[in-house]
Amino acid sequence: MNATVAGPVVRMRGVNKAFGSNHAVRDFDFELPRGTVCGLLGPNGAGKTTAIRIMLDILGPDSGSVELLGEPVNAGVRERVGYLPEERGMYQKMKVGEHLAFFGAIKGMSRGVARREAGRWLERLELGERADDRVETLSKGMQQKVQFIATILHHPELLVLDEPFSGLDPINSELLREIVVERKREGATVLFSTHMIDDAERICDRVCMIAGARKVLDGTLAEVRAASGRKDVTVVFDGDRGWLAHPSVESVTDHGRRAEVRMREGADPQALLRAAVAADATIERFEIAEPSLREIFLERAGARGLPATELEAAMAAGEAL
Amino acid sequence: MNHRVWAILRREYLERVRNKWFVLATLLVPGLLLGLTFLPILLAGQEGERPLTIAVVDRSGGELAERLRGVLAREDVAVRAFRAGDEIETIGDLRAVLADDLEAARTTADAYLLFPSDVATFGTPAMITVSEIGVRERTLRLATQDAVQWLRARRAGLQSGAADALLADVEMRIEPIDPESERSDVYQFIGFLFAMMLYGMFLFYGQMVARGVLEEKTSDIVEILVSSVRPWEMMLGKIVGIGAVGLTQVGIWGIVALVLSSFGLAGRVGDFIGAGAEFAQMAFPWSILVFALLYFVLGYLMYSAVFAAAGAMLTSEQDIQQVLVPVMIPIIIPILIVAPVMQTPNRLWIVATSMVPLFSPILMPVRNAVTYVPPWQNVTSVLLLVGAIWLAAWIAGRIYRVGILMKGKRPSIPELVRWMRHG
Repeated sequence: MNATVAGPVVRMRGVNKAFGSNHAVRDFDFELPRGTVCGLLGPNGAGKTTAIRIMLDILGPDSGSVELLGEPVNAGVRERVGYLPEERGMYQKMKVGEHLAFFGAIKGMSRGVARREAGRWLERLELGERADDRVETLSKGMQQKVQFIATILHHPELLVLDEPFSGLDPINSELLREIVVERKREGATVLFSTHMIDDAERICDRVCMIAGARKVLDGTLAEVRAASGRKDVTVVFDGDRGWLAHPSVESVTDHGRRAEVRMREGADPQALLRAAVAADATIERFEIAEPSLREIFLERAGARGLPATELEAAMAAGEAL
Repeated sequence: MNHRVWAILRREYLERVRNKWFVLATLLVPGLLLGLTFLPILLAGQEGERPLTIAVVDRSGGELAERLRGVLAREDVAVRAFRAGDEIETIGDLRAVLADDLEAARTTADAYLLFPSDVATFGTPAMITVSEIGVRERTLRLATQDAVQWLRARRAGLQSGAADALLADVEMRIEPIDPESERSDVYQFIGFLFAMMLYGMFLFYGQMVARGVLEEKTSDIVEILVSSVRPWEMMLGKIVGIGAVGLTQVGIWGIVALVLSSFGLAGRVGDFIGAGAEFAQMAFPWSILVFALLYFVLGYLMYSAVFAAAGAMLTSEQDIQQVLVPVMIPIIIPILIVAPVMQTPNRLWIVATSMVPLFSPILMPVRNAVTYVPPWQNVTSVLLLVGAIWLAAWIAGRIYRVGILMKGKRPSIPELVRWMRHG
């Protein structure tokens, strides 16, 4: 590990990329601090994969600049990065062990070390017996695990994973999540794209949201929530209900004794509580909830004029996976 | 060559050399070639070994059977007089007599030869075969012709010795003023063999490169590779790795050929192409072989770069033939003109065509085999070829770089030009 780099692991400035008249990424600025796990969120077709490809110098940007590990992307930097693309291929006729040794070798590992490390990982992911089998004899999920090993085999400082958990059964995707968190503890920086927001909320320190080719949110989870500036309140009460018409309230879903209150942006829930007490209502419960990432995302995407129903459908589809 | 190129090269080489198809093809091709070469020889040899018996009806005076016997003794053909034939004058009579007792006719002789009484003037001999005489028909014709001409010479009043001299074979040697510039049929055979082998290898290994690139595209491996390896590194590793497979195959064939030749193979091949002793005794043409290898390596580099670019343009198996056929044309053209090249290797248009880099990898080894090629021509063609490799690699590299990440529709010509410009 190269500990001399203090700055961000990824720095992209003003990146634009269009394919013909189709803008895939617009004015993209992005910084990823060392040692964080960042979720790159957005519905399908939002530009996540293009942003990643530009980040890794697989595609050249039309304008803007990219630095990885403090340098413009070069051969040395590439060897310190591990990339698991969404479209993952394998040499079907190769033996699993050979396959991993090959990917280790192009990342600069000696074959002996690569084979040894590969054996260790295969054991851990319950594929130890399959090292001498041809890739084509493995199930799709097993192949996905082998590809994951190929991505982390050379101890990359930056891991870029495009939809790493899609298509895996719950046990295996939990196992890979564990390994991602473990990599982070060992100092690696992880960026993974997903359209499953729950994944992001569980293991990310940061999120970056893309919708319609633009970045709509970027920061730590706390920052993102705070920046949304809006709170929801759930109240369980008896008595007078006139205070629910307080000016700080945007809308109320009234269930009788229980009301779900959406506050106006920037409004203080405490003012509402004082109004309720002043109105002599009996408050049993007054709970301030920060909006979920899903709500924030939908709100932000909607603010940019994107059709919210479509987004909702896309996110829901992601969740269903 | 850095460790990435090396790793790719190593993978391409080992995965292919370990493949059972490689082993099979490497063994099968020389086996097939040897089989095709030797089966006819062996079969012809067996045919030749069977002794034949010819029964002769001579209405002209009785000397012809004796003359024939003398000529055919060397050929393992027995000649006897056909006693039952006193009444026979025409081929129709002969047929009738034989048909009377076909069984007896078959046991007595393989063929019945009739010399009519006027054979010394303008009459023509005739033969009825009762069993197959195969390739020795020609021997029998020549011997019969000799016998009749000899009879005619005798009847014209020549002594026996004078008649022999008249009928002795006349062969003419033809030599060019510069003995270097023309070579024997053995070299023609070698030249033709080179042309066919180079043609086959270029097509086979070129397509292997294109298919390898396509396989990486369709299986999405390319996406992982390009995050670690530059496209030019991928292309170089693949081309050199597959080229090394080709050289390995040629090397194995070379060793097999050397081993077989120590068992007298050369003599038998020589027999077959009608230059037995010469082929067996000639010094092995190392310089010609070295030329062929050099052009194989250089030609492969040029063609395979183009094949790699073609593979990168492909998006599915179905397109393969459409895209590869145009690429194969420069390899096919030399084979279409290899006959005139072998016959008149120093004509102006042939010299010019053979130095064009698209064709020189096949035509120059052929010319070097069948004729003396001035050094300036070899040097010029190699320099042109090296230039062409550089150009092909540059263009192919740019197409490859864009093409490998391309999906969906195959690019049009204007799109290709754009890839080359901006790459």
